[in-house]
Amino acid sequence: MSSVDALAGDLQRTASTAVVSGAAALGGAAALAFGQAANAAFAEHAASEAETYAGKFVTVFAENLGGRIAQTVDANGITVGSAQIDTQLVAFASGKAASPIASVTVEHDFSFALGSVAAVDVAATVTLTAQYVFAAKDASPKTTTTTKVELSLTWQSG
Amino acid sequence: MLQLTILGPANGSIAVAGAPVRFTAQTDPKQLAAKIVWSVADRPELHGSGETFDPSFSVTGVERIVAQIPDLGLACDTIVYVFKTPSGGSTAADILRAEPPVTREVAVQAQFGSHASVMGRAS
Repeated sequence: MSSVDALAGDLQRTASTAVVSGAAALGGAAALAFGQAANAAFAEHAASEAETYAGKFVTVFAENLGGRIAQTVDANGITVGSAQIDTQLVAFASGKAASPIASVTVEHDFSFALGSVAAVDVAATVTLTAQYVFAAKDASPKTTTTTKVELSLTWQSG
Repeated sequence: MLQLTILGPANGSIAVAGAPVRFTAQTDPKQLAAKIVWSVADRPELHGSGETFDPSFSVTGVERIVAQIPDLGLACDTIVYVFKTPSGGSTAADILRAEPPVTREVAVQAQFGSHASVMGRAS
């Protein structure tokens, strides 16, 4: 499996994990108010968003860098929507970096109403970051991913 | 004023190994173009002459391409960053899979710049 395929797989798994974790956190905090129906609604909605993440990864990785100025790409990164690639092309080509791409970050916002369960709006931001590191033993590329999920709840009474 | 200018690719451009990269230069007056001599730093096997130069690089690395008109003392240069990718493509996905460079001492900055001029008249 290529490192790109591995990355996409890692991030998709991470997205799924984030969804479950987010749903669990929401459930723990709000189960008394919303019950399992709210929890399930959040999980179902968020799971569908994982497809959006995958689509953004493909778009970012398909960006053609041929003819572009390496220093400019390194300085600004590659941005497609809320996805960002940070590069180190000059350092890599000069033999001073192990990978031409340092990290990939995707931030995705989504919000939805819990409908008939209660007059509650839930907004969430999921930030996925994949960083490239190289194993000292065999110089093989490894991908590490981190995920941050932020949830906000708005209750409309009356 | 006699002038030599490398029109492209721009200094610092990204290219892929295995496919020719076209370099183009312009002179003033135009008839000087036939005297342009092209070379690649530390790669004596890559050389050419005239308005265009189409070297093909085989490995990842930094390459400094020089255009000169020796008898007038005119010299320009430009840097390209070459990536050897498995597919020969230059998308971010391709470049992520690029082979690491072969260690080689090459200046990562252009030394002359993309334009040179000298007082005089074409002979």
